Amino acid sequence: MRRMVFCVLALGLLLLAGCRGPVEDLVGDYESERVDLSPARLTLRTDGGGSLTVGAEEAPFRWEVREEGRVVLHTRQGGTISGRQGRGVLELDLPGVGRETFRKTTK
Amino acid sequence: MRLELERKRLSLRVLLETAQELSGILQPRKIMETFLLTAMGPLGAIRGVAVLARPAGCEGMILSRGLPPAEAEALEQRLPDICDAYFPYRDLDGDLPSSKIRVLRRDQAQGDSLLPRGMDILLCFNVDEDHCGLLALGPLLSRDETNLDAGLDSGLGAGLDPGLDADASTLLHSLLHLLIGALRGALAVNNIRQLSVDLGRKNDRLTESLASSQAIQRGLDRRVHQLAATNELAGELAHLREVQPILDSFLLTMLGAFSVSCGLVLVLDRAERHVDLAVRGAPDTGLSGFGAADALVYKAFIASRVHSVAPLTVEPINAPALALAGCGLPFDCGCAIYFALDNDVQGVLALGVTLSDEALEDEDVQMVRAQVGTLLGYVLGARHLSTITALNNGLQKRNEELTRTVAELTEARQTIALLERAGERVRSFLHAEALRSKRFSWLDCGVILVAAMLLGFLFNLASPNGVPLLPEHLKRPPAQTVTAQKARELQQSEGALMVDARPQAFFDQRHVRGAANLTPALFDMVYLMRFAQVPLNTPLIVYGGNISRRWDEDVAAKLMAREHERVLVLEDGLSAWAGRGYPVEP
Repeated sequence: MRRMVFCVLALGLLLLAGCRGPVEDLVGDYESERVDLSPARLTLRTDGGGSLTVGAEEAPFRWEVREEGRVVLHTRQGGTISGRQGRGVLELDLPGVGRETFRKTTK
Repeated sequence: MRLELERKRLSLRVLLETAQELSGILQPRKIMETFLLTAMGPLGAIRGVAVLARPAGCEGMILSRGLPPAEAEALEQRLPDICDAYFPYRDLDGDLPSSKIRVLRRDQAQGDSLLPRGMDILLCFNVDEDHCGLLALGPLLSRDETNLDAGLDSGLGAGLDPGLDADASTLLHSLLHLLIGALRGALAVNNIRQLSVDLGRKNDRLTESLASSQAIQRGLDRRVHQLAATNELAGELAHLREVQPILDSFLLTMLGAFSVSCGLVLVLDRAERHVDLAVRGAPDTGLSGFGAADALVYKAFIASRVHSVAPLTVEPINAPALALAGCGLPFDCGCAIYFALDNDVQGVLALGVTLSDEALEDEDVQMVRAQVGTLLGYVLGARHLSTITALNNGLQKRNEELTRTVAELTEARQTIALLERAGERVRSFLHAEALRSKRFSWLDCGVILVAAMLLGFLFNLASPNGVPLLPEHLKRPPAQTVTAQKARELQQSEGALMVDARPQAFFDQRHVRGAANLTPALFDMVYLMRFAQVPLNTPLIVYGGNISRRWDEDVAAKLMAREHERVLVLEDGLSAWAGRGYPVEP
């Protein structure tokens, strides 16, 4: 019985590891494409953490990938920001700001 | 008187000459010959017979003078009879006093017929304890016929014979004493010589016996050394439990006990295809391999002339150097023994020549054979011990497995019993709870509520995103407010920026024209992206909904925390703004 449970857990872990493929692709540093303001840099780490840096200030968050490749950022205050990914580009819908495009710079 | 002196002078001269003649002669026969030749003349005897005999053995010699050769030869043949006739008194008293001289008259002599006729004088005398003598002289010439014509008177033979006077008789006694003395000396010298020869022979025999005894002693010493070494070997082997150390120790002892410089002992197990080999004093020439060892053992089996392999067979190999040639022995083999424990386990003991470059003697080979028999006992014991040890190890492993199994079964049984007891308790608890649920009380609700609050409190305390126990707005001073009219003026005159603190859904429904949406939940990120470039002296007017003002006050507090100089909160929010007809969108 224990072996069966262990096998099921191991299989689940393997499946989870297999599902990490898209997540691994998203990990890295991004920079916004806006030209009139200070450049904003977005960092997505492998541990599910991330940060938005503008100038010397930094806003931490956690991130995840949901169905259909939708990326969701969770702020420390409990808010969520959704976005989409595609070919080294991450588009975030910031309430009150609009759609902000970040382009991947490093992996 | 003068004649008397002359006769004495002549007698003394005869005695002197006789003594001179006899002196220096060591052979009794020569002495007697010389005596007869010297004594017959002065005494006037024509014939003379002298006998020297050992009566105990009826042996001796007879010398004659003046007899025809045939008669003299016949006389020599009558020696035993003469001994019986003239020396019988030895049987009576057993011993004779030395120098006793007995004068026999012819009519008194028992063996008168044994001597030649005409012997006027017969004298028996003793030379020593073993030898007797007989002197017979006659016939005597008349006094006138003798060359002692002037020296011999008529009284000479008064005591002996009518023909001898007293002076002649004295002379005869004196001569006889000279003869006896000379014979004693000669016999003594001969006895001494014989004793010397006997001593030499005995000495030679003793020397040979000594050499033989020394050789025997050396053999005994060697045997004692071998037995002592064997005894020590037995004590040493008794403590060994494996075949290889037993072979090493046995070979070392054999080499020392029999003074052999090199040797090997090999035990071959055909069933296991295993070889135990001990080599000393020579290099290993590959005999540790199964093939070479098998060939050597097979050749030793053939050479030993054993017809079948019986258990505990020990057989020496004749001419081992020739029999085991070409088998890879690394030395010249002087002694080899074939042995077998059983049909599968056989072996060979091969010893080289001794340190003195000699082959072992037969007795040594038999000793080696006996020692190999002893070796078989120890090897057999070691193999049995190995088998028993392996069986014991197997049994121990099985025992451990059984113990583990029993322990697991016991543990499983205890677990089952524990689970059964736990199930029973759960059943009884559920049953009790089912019964108790019918008796629901407010106390239960309170306990559940307190527990839930406690858990929530602990979780909130441990969570990094936990909610503070006291709302932030209670701790901070109230924000500065502004009326809708004043806010409109600031927007138009100073370009104040309107900030909608409501959630995006409300913002999308309706908001002040030109307002920016900045909710507390997304404050950090939206502020960095949208407000980071706003000058700090720009008036910021925050507004919220009608029901709750916490959002706008929170946002205002955060903006003030970022050092914006003029942050105002719109009184009554968007409804006041819209109520005055100020522009909204959409």
